[in-house]
Amino acid sequence: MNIRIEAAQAGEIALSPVLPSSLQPLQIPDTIGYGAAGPYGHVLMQQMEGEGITAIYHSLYFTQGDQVIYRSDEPAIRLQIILRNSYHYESMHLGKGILHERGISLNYVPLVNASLKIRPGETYSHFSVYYQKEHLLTLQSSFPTLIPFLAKICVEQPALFGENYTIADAAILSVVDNILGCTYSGHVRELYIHYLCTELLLLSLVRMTSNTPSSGTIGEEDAYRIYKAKELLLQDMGSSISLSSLAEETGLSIYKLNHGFKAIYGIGAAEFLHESRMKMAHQALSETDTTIGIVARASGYSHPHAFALAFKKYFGYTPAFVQRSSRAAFFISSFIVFLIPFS
Amino acid sequence: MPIHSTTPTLRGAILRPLLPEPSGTTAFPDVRELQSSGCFSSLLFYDDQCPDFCIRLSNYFLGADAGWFEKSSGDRLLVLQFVLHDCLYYKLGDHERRSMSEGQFNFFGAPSISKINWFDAANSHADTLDIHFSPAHLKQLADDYPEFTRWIAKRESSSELSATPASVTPIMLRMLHAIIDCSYTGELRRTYMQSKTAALLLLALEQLIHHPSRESTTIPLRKYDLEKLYEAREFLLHNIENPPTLKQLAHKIGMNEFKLKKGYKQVFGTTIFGDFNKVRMEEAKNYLLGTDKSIADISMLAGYDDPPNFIRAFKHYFGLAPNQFRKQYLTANGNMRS
Repeated sequence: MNIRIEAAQAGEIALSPVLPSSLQPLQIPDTIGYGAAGPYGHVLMQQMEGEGITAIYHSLYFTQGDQVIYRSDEPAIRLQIILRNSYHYESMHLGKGILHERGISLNYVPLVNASLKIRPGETYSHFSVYYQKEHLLTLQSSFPTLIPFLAKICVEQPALFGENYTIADAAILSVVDNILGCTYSGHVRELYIHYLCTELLLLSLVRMTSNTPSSGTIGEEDAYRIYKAKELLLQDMGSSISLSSLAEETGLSIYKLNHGFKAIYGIGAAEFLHESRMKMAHQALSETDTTIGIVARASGYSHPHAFALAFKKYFGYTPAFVQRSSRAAFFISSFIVFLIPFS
Repeated sequence: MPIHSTTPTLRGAILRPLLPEPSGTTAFPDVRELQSSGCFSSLLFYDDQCPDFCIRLSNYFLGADAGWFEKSSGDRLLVLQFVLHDCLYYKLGDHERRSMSEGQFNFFGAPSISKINWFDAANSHADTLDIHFSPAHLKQLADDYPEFTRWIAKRESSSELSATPASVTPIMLRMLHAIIDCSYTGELRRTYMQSKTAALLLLALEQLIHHPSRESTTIPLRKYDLEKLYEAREFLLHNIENPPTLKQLAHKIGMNEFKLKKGYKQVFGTTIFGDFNKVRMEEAKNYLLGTDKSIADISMLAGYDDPPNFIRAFKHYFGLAPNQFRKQYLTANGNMRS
């Protein structure tokens, strides 16, 4: 995808395939990165190819409030999943709208021309997957609502799939994680990304067409209060911060707080905290040498047994299993290091 | 034969009574029936059929006695098999009996399906998930895994892709659960399964080819233990003529037998006996090719009391009996020695 970016205040932002040194630590291995950094902040796009499917992980950070315009002359059938912050956009073809964290949109535009309102000092990130028409054609028998959407694509009319605001569930987010964390290279990587992006489209379509009752809408300001509450929750997952103190800190009522979590994440504050704890625990166990007892305490469980039960219920396997499989990998890598003086 | 169903998580199950001697209808990947004989019954819950692959979840139930279960068909077998519960003993072709335990997997190939699964009386029931692939579908990946291509090209032999089964990783286990719990139907199910199985296959190949022989039960070893193991190997290689028993070796270096055995394999990739045997065989080869000594003498020198035992071991290691080996080498080199 050939995407040009321009900001109202910062002017034309020239993306370079050679990443500025400040962005290099952010680069995901084996992706094609395009980035720019300056006194205004930074823009980073990381592209992955998957046999006809292109996926781009976007991230933006601006020190000053600004209006960023994305342009491309190519048509795009894209699935967008917002990973961080609220996207307040205005598209030439699709009109105005707002997508909060975890919001999903499947749309078609004959050419890209959309502006995004940027708040100062906030990081924005989203994941876009560009599909070909053929990928949707094979699915239209399962999703009849794809037929009018495809009809519009055929006559190059902009189109937005689905009427309801859709929130990504845990399954969708875990596929995104797998794509971003893919450790393959070369052709296998392309195949793997292709399969995962196909699955992502499928799961998203199921989610968008299922009749889940809408959890209500939320205004932009309230959304930022919820993000603040989220930060507070995530800062210390070991302690159990009460809903009332969270409400006090963010200036929302308990009702609005819970309601806001539901509107953005599709789950209440307590469930959100549980989900975050479980994911954190999984990561700690698979990537570090931390003992289960310590991970349990860090996730707010005073007893490892209770933690193990909750973990198993959430993931379907025990914390010890994660630890064992990562230990085996860790042992091999540490052993190689140890071998060098001998060889 | 009565069929017991104990797994409530499966939807859309096609339950069919197992046929005694079916009329050769078993053709992959459209299998619907399994042959069975023995004192247990087996269930097949679903059989997702796509042109490229077929997924089957099997539950094996066992009666009071040990039993066996045989699959056979005229078609080529290419299957990725995961053991989901308990332990599976199997026999592939004319190989000896092997086993895979819960959480392990391997890729099997055989010119015609001839795989026997055994069950010990202690096993109450075992579950496996099998994904049968068509050779054409596997070819798509062939370019990326040369080892795999070579292995597939060996159409005539029955073998496992990796000598030791690999263990599932958390991400693979999540995919397996997603496949088992999938509630989609029709075209949607097929598309979903296609991308899931393909991604799972890639992950499996990565484990089987690039991280082989990783035993599920690796024991933690500290730096101190590693030094001990190097010491053990050193000692062993210096005492080939008078080999220590495992017990003596364990005493010598100060490590318990279990840890020595397990750790040795984990670190050096071979067993103590394997290493010892390798040195003995190389030594015998040198005598055989470098001297005029008789086979009986060489067998003594290599530490065998009984020449036939030596000949058998030599043949097993080099593929040729010692005298044939000597003859072949000498003709190839134009009898340079004399």
